[in-house]
Amino acid sequence: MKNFPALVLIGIISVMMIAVLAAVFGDTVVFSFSSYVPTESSMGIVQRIFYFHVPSALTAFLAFFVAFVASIGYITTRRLIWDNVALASVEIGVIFCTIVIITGPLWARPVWGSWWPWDPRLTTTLILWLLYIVYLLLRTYSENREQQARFCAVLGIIAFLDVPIVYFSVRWWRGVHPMVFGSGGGGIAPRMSHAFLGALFTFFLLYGLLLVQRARLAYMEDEFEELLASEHETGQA
Amino acid sequence: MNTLRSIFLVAGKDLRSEIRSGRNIITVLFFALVVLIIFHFAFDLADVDFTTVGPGLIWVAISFAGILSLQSSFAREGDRDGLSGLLLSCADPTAIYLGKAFSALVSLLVAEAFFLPAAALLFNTDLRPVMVPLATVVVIHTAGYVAVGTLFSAMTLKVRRGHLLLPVLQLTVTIPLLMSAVKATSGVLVTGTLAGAGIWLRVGIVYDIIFLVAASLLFEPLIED
Repeated sequence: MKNFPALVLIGIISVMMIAVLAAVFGDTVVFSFSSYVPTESSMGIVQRIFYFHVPSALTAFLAFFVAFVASIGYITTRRLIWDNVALASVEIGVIFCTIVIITGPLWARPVWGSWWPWDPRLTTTLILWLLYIVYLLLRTYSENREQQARFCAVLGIIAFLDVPIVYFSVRWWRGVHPMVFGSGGGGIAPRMSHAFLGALFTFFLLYGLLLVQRARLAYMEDEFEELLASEHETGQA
Repeated sequence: MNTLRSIFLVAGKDLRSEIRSGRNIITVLFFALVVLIIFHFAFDLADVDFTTVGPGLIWVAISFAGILSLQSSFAREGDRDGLSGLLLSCADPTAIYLGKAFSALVSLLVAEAFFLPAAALLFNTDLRPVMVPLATVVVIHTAGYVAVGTLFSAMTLKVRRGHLLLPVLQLTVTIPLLMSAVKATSGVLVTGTLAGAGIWLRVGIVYDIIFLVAASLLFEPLIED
């Protein structure tokens, strides 16, 4: 069992995910016992998407930040392992971004009355999603492995620098997003924050697991290519 | 100073070739005008107030046409591997980037200097009273566009079929710059003063600084091979 720690982690994450689901959706059709979280008074049941929407968004931002750091790591050290981490992180970030973009409109439709109200954070996430899709696209264009890593590291840095500018531009352009936390936010009930933090922790763990697994796979792919190349050379000689 | 000299040598070389043919500037100018005409017929803008749709129109046209300008910036080095020649000249790669960016900025600004009056004429508006504030907004936002675009131009020259990738890269990364340019231009057109651009002028300047610094630092690792 070479991959025993990963299996244990998968087990822990599965249990936590079920616990979070039960805490949030206990009283709905999914299960049928009373849920841990209270129902939000004005938005009703649809508010509970928040427990998955916000952790997904934070995980996506974390993933892109890790990709930014890994890109700087590659530029300064030129070790392909950094590129493996950057690729893994961007791929996972794009998945979580996709979840945000899907769950956002599901919530916005009943609460704000339109699927896509061009809310600053949702729009920022959409542009972020586009930026990192372009990053993945760039990977497919490059001619050799080393160049691919170099170009992607450059874009990984540029894209991340773009994020705060995008956020503030979209916000100053027009703004209606609910501020749950921070100044001006309404704050939430203690039970809500327990469920939220539980979900957030689970999502971060899931991200960590996926990151390690995906980066390892990318690393092994590189090793394999190298082996093939050296095999080819000996075959020639 | 040696670096400064390299910058002007690289920029001078590109600008001389541009002045002799004028091909780049003329192509950009006419493409921008075509975009304007297409928009006019797509949305029937004959009776629409220029201050409401004008800023968006001109910046979309400049964004699209600017791609052509960026494509030719490094493509002119592509035919006979001029980029290797430039690198062999021992000039600092950052100076090569800055020189390239400067010449791209000048050619795009020249194209805009013809395009904006033509756009004003087509939409029956008079831009002369707001010439100075408008020019300031245009220069600031064109600089940011070119700063990041020159980096992508070098990048896409090196990859196979990179010309397909350049517009996608450039237009995605410059979305906030386009927003800022449109808002700033609209503020200037409505109020007639530079103060009307408000916060968007600062957004444009911050964008310029961030991407000029980042691209200067990243150009060297980008082109080495």
